[in-house]
Formats: sequence, C-alpha cells, structure tokens
Amino acid sequence: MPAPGSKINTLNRFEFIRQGLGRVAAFGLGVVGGVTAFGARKKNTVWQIDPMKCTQCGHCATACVVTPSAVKCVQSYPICGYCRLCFGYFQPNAPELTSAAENQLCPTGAIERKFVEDPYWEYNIKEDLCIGCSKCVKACEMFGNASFYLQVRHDRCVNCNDCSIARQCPSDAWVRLPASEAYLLKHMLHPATQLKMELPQWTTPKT
Amino acid sequence: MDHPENLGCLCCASSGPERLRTMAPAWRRCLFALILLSMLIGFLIPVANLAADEMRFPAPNFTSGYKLPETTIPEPTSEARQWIDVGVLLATLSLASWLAIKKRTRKGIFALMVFSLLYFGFYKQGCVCPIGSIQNVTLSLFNSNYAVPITVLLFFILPLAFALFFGRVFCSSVCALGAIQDLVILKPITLPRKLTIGLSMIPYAYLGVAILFAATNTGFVICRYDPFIGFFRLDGNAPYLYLGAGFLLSGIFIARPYCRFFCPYGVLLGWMSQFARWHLTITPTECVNCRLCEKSCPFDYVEKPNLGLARENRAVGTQRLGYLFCVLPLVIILGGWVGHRLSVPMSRYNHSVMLAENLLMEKSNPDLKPSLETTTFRTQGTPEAKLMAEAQLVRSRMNAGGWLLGGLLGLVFGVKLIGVSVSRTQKDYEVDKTHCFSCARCCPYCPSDAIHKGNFVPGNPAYDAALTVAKQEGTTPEAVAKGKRA
Amino acid sequence: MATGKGKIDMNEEKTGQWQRRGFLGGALVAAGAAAGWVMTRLLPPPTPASGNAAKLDDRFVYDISEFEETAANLLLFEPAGEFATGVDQAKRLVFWSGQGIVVSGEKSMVIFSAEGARLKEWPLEAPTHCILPLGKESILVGYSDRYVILDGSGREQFKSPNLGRRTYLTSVAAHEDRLFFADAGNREVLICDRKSGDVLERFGKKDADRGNPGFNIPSPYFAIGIPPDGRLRVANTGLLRVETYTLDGRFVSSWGEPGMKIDRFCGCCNPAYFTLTPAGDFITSEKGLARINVYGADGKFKGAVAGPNGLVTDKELAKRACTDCTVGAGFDVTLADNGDVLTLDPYRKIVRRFHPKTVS
Repeated sequence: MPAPGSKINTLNRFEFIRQGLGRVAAFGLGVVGGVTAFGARKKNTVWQIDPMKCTQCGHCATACVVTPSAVKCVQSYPICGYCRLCFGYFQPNAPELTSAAENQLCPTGAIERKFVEDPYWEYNIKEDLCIGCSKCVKACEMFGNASFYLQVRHDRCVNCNDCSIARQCPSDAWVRLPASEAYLLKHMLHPATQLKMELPQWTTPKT
Repeated sequence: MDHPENLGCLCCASSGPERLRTMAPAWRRCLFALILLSMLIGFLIPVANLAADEMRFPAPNFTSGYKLPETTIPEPTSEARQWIDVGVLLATLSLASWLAIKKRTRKGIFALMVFSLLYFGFYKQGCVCPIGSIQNVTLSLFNSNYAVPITVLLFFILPLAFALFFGRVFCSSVCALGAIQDLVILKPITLPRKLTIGLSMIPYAYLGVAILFAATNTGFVICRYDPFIGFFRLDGNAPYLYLGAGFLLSGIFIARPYCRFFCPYGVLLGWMSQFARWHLTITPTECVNCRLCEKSCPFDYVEKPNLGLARENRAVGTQRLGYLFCVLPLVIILGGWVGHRLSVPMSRYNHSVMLAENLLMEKSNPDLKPSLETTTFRTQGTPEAKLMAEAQLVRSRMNAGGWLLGGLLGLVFGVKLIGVSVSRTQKDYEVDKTHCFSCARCCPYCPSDAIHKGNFVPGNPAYDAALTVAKQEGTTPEAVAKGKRA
Repeated sequence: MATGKGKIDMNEEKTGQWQRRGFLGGALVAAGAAAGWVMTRLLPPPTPASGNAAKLDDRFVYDISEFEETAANLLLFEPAGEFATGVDQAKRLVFWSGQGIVVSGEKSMVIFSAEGARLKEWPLEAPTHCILPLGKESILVGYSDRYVILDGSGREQFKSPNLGRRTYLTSVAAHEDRLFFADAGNREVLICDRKSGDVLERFGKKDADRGNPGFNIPSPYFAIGIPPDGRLRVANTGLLRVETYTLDGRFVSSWGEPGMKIDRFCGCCNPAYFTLTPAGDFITSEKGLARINVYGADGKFKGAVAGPNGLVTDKELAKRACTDCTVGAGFDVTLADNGDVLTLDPYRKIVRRFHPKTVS
C-alpha cells in the first residue's frame, strides 16, 4: 500500500511490483498455454449429429444461425429399401403414388424420386431445398429402413463455437468430431459392427 | 470414454464424446463412467442384436446393373486453412505492433483494421475468435473429455502474448469486433468517470460468468451473446442482430462500447498489457505537457499529469485507505454471497439442471403438459438418478463458482476503489496502459513527431490542434507545441 | 469512489465528503447485495415449455395421429387379459394346440398355459426365426438358415441340413409332405421335403412365364401360410400385399392396397405377420403403425383386433426399444383354439389376449 508523498521510493516500489507482476502474468500465460497445449488435440473439431440419438424434434431447422439450416437430410443408399411407396416421400394419405405435389410429404419438395427398375425407386435429397425439418426422417424411421437421417453439411456449416442447435437439442445428439472424420454416416457406424463386415455384400448385390 | 482419441469410436456405447456432463474428480468420474457404461451396455446389447438382424438385409437385388450412389460428404474447412488463419493472426499482430510502436501511424493501423474486419470478420465469419476461445480453453481445463484444438489455443495465446510485450495491439487492428465498432466512432463523448468505473466491472463479471459456464459445460455465453457475428455472417437471429445494431448505434457516441464495457477478453489483455515492455506512447520523445493530445482519445484513456497540482493531505489519504481496507473483506464476502444466491438461477442455464427441474416439476404437478425435453429424456431411457446426480454436481459447482466469482468481483471492485483513491505522481501525458487499445489516434496530435520531421505545418493534425488553442490563448502554435501555455 | 477530478483537486477540506462517500460505498454494496437477493426471487422459475426454439409450423411436422385411433365400430375383439413372459427379445409367438402358448426368444423357447403359467422352458441353440406346431407332439423351430423338429418334451427329433447361402428364414408353413419356408435373405420361398429337409424347389424371383412379380422384401418380414384351400399365401411385404400361389409356385392373385387407412397396408414391409383362421380368414399384424386386423379369405377387410393406440400402450418404451434399430419388431400374432387372438408385445415382454366381441 503505497502512500503518496515519498516520490522516489514509491516509484521504485511501484516499478518493482510492476515488474514482478509482469513476470507473474507471463508465467501465468505460459502455465495456461502449457496445460491446455498438453491436452490439446492437433485436429480441429466440427459439429455433427449422432443419427442414432436424433429424435427428429425439428430444432435443426429453426435453431441454426445459417438460413436455411446447415443441417440437411441425407440418404444412406445401402440402407434404403428403394420402396415404391416411400413413406419419407409420400404423404400419409397420398391419393396416388406419383410425384405430383399433393402426394409429396416434403413441404419444400426437396426429395427427388427416380425410377430404377421395377419395383425399385431411388430417392435423393436436393440439398438446396432441404431445410432439415426431419419430417421425412421421422416418417422413414417410423415406417421404413431409416435410411434418411440428419447430418450437418460442412459446406454450409460455419462451425460456430457455440452451436445454437446443439444448445437446444433435447436428445443430446450433437457431438464434436475431429474435422478429418466429420460425418457420422449411418451405414458406417451402426452399433452392430457386423454391418461393416457386411458392407461388401451391400455394394455388390447378388444378381 | 475419457480419452479424446476415442472420439473416433462411434458405437452407441461410447458416443456423446463431448457433451458428456460428467465433471467429477478423476476417480469418481471413472467409477461413474464404469457404472454408466455397464448400464449402457446392459441396455444396448439386446437392441443392438435386434438391430443387427434388421440391418443385415442386403440392398434390393437390382437386375439392371444399377450402382448404389455414394452419400456425398462435403469436407469441412481443412486443417491447412486453419493454420493459414493462425499465420494471418500472427502477421497482423506483428504488423500492428510495428505500426503502433515503431511507425506510430494511425493511417496504417486504420488500414490494417479494415483488412482484419474484412478477413476475420466478413471472410472468416468470426469463429473461433480469441474472445470466444477463452471458453474452449476453460472447458479443456475443466473437462477432460474436451481437448482444445491447437489452432484455437494459439488464437487464445497469441494476442495475450503480444499484449504482454506490445500492449493491446490485438484490439487496435486485429479484432474484427473492435474494428467494426471503431469504424462508427463519429461523435465520441466523455462519460462521467464514476460511470466508466462502474461499467468497467461488467467485463470482469462477464469473464467470470463465461468461465463458470464453460467450466460446468453449461454453454459458451460469450459466443451466444456475440453482438456482431450476425453482421459478419449477414445472417442470424433477430434479437442478436438488434443487439449488434444497438451496440453500433450507441458506438457512434460511446466509442467502442463492447470493447470497453463488455469484452471479457479485454480483461485478460489488460492484465497483460499493463506490464507491456514496449507500449505505444503518445510522444516519441519527451512530453512537454502541451496538452494537445488531451482530447485525442475517444476512449478517455489519456492520463493527465498531476505534478504540481494541489494534493490531499497525506493523513486523510491514509485514513481513507484504512477504511477501504477494512471494507474490502466485507465487500468480498458480500460479493461471494450474491454470487452464491445467483448460482441457482444461473445453473438453470445448464441443460441437465433444467431438465432435472422440469422432470421434478412434472412429477409434482401431473397436470403439466410434458415438454419436448422431458419426453425425449424418458424416451431415451437414461436412468433418472444419473441425471439428478449430474444436475446436483452442476449445482454444487455453480454454487462454489458463485462464491468464488462473487468474491473475486468484490475484490476487483475493492481494488478499483483503492486504485482510484490512491493518487500517484504522474509527470507526463501517458496512455492508460491497461486499457489503451493502441489505436494510435493520439500519436498525430503529439507535435514532437511533426516538429522533428519538419512537417509542423497547416494540415498536420498537431498543428491544427495547436492553432485552435493558440487562437484562444493569443499565442502561436509553435509556442503551444512547446508546452508554453497559459 | 473518487473521480478523476477528486484525484487532483482533493484537499483537506474534503475529508468529511470522503467519510460520506465511504458510507455511500457501503450502502451501494448493501444495495447490490439486496438486488442480488431480489433477483434470485424475481427470476422466473423454469417453465416446462420447450426451450426457446422457434416452432416449426404444422406443414413441417409429421403427424399421423388420425391413423392411430381406431373407430370403436371396427373393433371386433376386446382385450381379455395379458401375462408377462419374462422372455428377453421375444420374437415369435405360436399357439401349440395341446401344449400351450409358445414364446421363443434368443436362446430358449418357453411354453405357457392359457393363464400364463410357465410350463416348460427348452434351451435352443440359436435365435428362433419361425415356429410351427406340426401336431400335438411335434413342433418345428426354424433358425436363420436351418430348422429342427422337437417332440413334446423338447427332444430333437430331426435336424435339417443348411438350407443354403444367405438364407434368412422368417416364416414356415406345412402341407402334406412339404414344408414351405419364407427366405427373406434370398427373397424366395423354399419348398422342402419334410422327411429329408432337402430344398426341392424355390421360387420368388421375377418370372414372366409363371406370372410371378417377384418378392420385394426390404426388411426381414416375410410371412407365409396355407389356408384350408391348399394354396400358398405369401406376404409380399415390399409391395404391401398378400399374394396367392399354387403349391408349385405359380402366381394366382393378390390382394392388399398400400395406404394408411385402416383397410390398407402401410409402412415398409407389411403385413409383417399373419395367421390364418380355420375358415381361411387372415389375421394380419402390421409394424410401424402397429395394428392387427381381420381380412376375409378373399382379402376383404372385416374389422380390427386392435389398433395402434390399443397395441402400443407405452409409446416411450416402444420408441426406446428401437431408438437405434430401424423398424419396430412388430407384434407377432397367433390364434388360440378358442378363437382368441394372442399377440406378443416384445417391448413390454407380455402376451396379450383379445377375445371376440359378443354380438349384441
């Protein structure tokens, strides 16, 4: 507690304390840096949705800071049943199974239906139109093979430090992943690891 | 479950890598993890097997030679790009230091500031910035499930390290948030000192809350309430855009309001900057007390000399200091108590606590409509006891943190009071090294540069300022510049 | 709190002012504390209302609640009790005349009395895929790619050879000396010799000559049955219909329309299960939108046994049980000898009984 008055002494004492504190500050900075660097991961992280935990609450469409949301529906082709009556594509009470707008479930018309061969149809997501509302995901999970699921698309995600969707996710489905493994692709991560072994079978179907 | 390497292991039993809210001491966490794991396994295995059956089904037997398309996976920003950003940060910091300390050029600083605004603000769109990185570093210190990426760590450390040697050059022309506010300083006003002292407590509180929230895995408040990120992205939720607009509008008159009265990183930078070895100075040579720089700082960070002014009686000062030191512990305890009282409402920002409270409320009041969160929780079948334990843990941590944070704020407040009540001898016009943003606005007002270079002529800011004073006082600008004033 | 001016101008006369200031400072701190306390009181208590996320409007919400309620006049049956099986991963249920109610799980097969008393438990070597009583003293148990025949005391009477690569049996029917297996793995019906277990013939691929449309089986639900008319009924679940074949595998006809309405089949792969009444009526069980309905031998909708809201009594549990599997396991269905419909709830691990409503 320096008292005003004895000018030279005060100055010296101040200088002394100041230098000492300066060193303490430098040291503190070093400690924090060192401790965190010790545990630091080399890789950067990105946000992703664990499709096994997602409950399709719809927050992904509304909470994202990017408009429309950086979360989109993706199609896992190896899981898809290629159904003629796709519940992710058609309204529950669709008058007929055609691509007419009144038959489509997707409110933004973001699903494309392509004929492959009888009786199989391919379904693709048009990402420019998809807003990530997960309506089709819910329907596909309820009635289909659950090949539709939500993923953060990293060409759109701005990777907020505090992801505003993650904050509101009721299912605890948001995770940070190393940027080098930025996706949780359903056909790759199913708890039944057998699936991985089965993969060749998927890709080269018996004819 | 405790190793960041496990991030890659994505089967259900070990997923949820970083939103895990277990923050107990190591042994407790291990035990907890073990119990949790066994519960998870016990529950998941049957489902997994069932699922295996469901999933084992091959794709349709296409006969037309149809090939399954690949699900596209656009890559995130590459690692190299992150390092480029670190490089740009380092380069801009170095350049800013050179411009502020060697070149003392406001124009140069301004140009660099515009570049930073464009690059870090509009091009990089803000994340991760050094301000927000406080939380990443905190989280990694308190939660072993989270390890801070090295580039983010560098974003945190570099500006602080530069501040320790060169002052807050980061604020001057590297920080995009500072830059956008600096651009709108049009009619800066001087705020009453009492008000600025009061307001300057906010960053400490903000920093404390940010650290507390990050440490308890409650959220990243700094990022959540970042007022300018919406502008940088030209997109965002309305309330935050209004907040940013409010800051920019008030920033026309109150220079850099976020930097001065909110920025939590500024607190850390200030701690470093006050010890800066080489800091921007108003005058490159010796101050002649010409007072021309007095009004040059829109932030009021130019400190006036008090040499030769009437000073208070020493005994009075000592007595007051004695009072203050007596009051200090009281202020600390009171602060701690307020923090403790606030810890319960603060803890409600934590997902687990909120969920636990909602569950209990719904239990005690069956008429309530179950919320999405509680319904989801029940559907997922996590044991309720686990959630309650987690919520309790967050509560107790928030409570401890509340005492600590409140106490520290009390201490800071007390120290500030002591600081302003103690007058130190000051001979020259100097910048407030703790707070000065090193924007170099004051530099052109110091005539010694201009005189030295021989351009103390009309058009030079120092000359013009001196001329105005000279006209009022009936003397010459040269005389004013030499400190010979009435 | 001294001001900048105070710092410079302060002199002895201002002592009194400083004492006052000290007092003021103390008062300020006290006021702050009081404010803190008030804030803890005033801050709103947490509301159970869902977060602060904006709500999606109805267009974006998947709502099928209108299909989950079954009109009372369509219900031909009423619940008549239930009993707990205690069998984990119970998948198949069958009524074994003369023995009891058979529930098979992962590694065992349990026989219950009509009242739900546990009579026998026989260990099995693999998860059961299908069961078919072949008489009072003989029962066929199908595994993934082979089957065994057990006698009334659980002893193995016969063990079949492996039925082929990628075979994944889901259902079985018997007619005279032939066994008919639905093989979802190859999407074919295997016709086996009852004595030797050898596969004599298989059909199910698209075949223009025989008029076969081909089986489209996106998930392992592929039911088969032979009513008294001696023709094979196969649930072509991907096409959401039941097809009739001759015993040598020629397509005859089909019935069933895709759709969510009660008289249609909806979802992927329905009807997931069906059982036949002595009169040849179908009792179908659908997964996804779980419902058990009665169709006439000609495929005409007759009424419902139970609808989604009647079957899935614990939605959260059902959802949890298949949070990460793709489709619900569905409710296997069988017919007791007194005309009651029995169904297996794999989530709650119970067997439920539905009794025909008495016509008033």
